[in-house]
Amino acid sequence: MKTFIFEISVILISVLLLLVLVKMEKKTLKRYLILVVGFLIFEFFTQPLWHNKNMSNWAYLYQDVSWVLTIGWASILLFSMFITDYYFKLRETKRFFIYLLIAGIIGIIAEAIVISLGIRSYSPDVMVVLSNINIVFTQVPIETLYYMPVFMALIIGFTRYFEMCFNKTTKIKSKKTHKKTKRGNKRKK
Amino acid sequence: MNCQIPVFCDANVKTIPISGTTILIFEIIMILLFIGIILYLFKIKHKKTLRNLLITLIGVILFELMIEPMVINTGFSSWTYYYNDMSFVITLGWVLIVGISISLIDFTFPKLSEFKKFWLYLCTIDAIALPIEILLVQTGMRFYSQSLIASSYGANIPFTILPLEVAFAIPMFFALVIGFTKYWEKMLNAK
Repeated sequence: MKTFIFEISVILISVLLLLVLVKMEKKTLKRYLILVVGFLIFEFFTQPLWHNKNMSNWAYLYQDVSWVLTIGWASILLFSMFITDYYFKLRETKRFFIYLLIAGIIGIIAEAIVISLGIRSYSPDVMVVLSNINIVFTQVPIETLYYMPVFMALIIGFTRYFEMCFNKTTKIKSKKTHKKTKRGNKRKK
Repeated sequence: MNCQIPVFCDANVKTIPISGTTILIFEIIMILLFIGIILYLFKIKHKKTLRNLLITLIGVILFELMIEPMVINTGFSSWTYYYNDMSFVITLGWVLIVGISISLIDFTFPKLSEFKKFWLYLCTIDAIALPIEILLVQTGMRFYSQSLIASSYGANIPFTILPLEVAFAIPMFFALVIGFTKYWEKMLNAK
């Protein structure tokens, strides 16, 4: 029952997030789809490293690769990228590391949730290299602190590269430009 | 074992170990080749290419960290390992493969759209890397973890002991590495 609530929550949060963000920035949907592809590549080919168990049958794509987890991860990164682009008027190089930081923090919380629900466990090959030290107050291995930024850095790079391929201008409006646009719209009216 | 076609599940294929001297020669050639390329780039003052090689190196290290528990590199000289079983000979090899593939496609098809070039990068990387991966696995210098073997479909690349998935996994993983590399290149170029 707990995992069912988790699955439904992930789907609902992802849909809501997507609806809100698409309203604010039209390119969000494209970004989200690229993120999903990036996470699918990662999850599909690293599936020997972990097991995703106890989820509903409909939540699985292939073996124990779950599309619910995929859209969950994509939503985390989408949210982190949006928050960063919206609140931090910085160069892209600096924003990249803020994406990683925000996504890393939310990602570790998400990992702690899936472990505590009994969904996520690690394969024997991973257990061998783990130090058996967990992040405080969680069952998340400390190695996640470096592993999460590692794969997220690759997926962010992949996503931004494809965005650049598809769009000529890829800058997302910052808070200031949002306000300016709103004022401009009011004047026009 | 889901294998239906004999050529995809030949149990008679075995690894053929190679001598320590051959491995040492391979390691030295790789290092000399890399030093030669870097010195040449310094000489012709191709700073951008040097910078791109460094970005590729970071991307490849991230990729190797990501797959580290699934792949085990053995038989290399102890001084070539820099983290667990990650050998810089393999890392430099990947960097060369990615660098050569990108340069080759960019040089041959300069007017092609970035999106189309991306797929050509992947095909070139697979064409170069797959035979090398087969060579490394068949000679016992690289093998896959039990979890990877257990989760594979069961069919092998014909006449090898490599799971068929490896042929797809190489370009797919490198889709992420190329994305990362090209993104940083574009970002630093725009600076």
